[in-house]
Amino acid sequence: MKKTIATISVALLLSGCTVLESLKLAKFDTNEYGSVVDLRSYAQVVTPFCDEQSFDYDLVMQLHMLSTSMFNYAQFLPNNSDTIEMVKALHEIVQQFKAKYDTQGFVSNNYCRLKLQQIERSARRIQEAIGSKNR
Amino acid sequence: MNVTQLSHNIEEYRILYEAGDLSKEEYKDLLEGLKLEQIIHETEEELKLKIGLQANITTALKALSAIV
Repeated sequence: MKKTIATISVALLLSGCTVLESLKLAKFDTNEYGSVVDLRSYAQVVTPFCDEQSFDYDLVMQLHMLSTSMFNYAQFLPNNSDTIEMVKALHEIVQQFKAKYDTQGFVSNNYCRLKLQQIERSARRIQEAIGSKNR
Repeated sequence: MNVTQLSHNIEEYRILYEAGDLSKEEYKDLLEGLKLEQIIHETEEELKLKIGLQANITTALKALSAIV
């Protein structure tokens, strides 16, 4: 009887380990978290500048730089597929924003504000997700 | 982003577009951005679920190890 219980327990342990293996997640990474916070903060700080006559292209470039750096940092971290997917989507939103300034002569104040809000909202959500990872 | 927030944003964009305060390209771009936000939201939910599940399994395994 004891042998049977032990065998079942070991089997459960092993299958548990297999499930855990498939759920393997990268632990909390301070740099990864920081890169998302930087992008979010920057989007927040520059949003009021959308109301000016023209939004300085340097601000667009800086935002794009922060986003590229965030994506490149997370890109090859092991067991990090969910975070990579999220930062990839956020980076695409930033690229859409930059592309608008690269290709269009006129970009409206409303578009500038709403797009930066999308970036800020998305970064906040990713920040929440990364923040809840195990330490 | 929940459905209510999403509907609110879509409505806000539509009103601005119809009032001529957003160009067609800008309107389209913003809607595409919402699609990406939706991906982020779904992935975040999944990640949170995995983190919770992982914690539960680890706890159960620890309890089982103590018995065995």
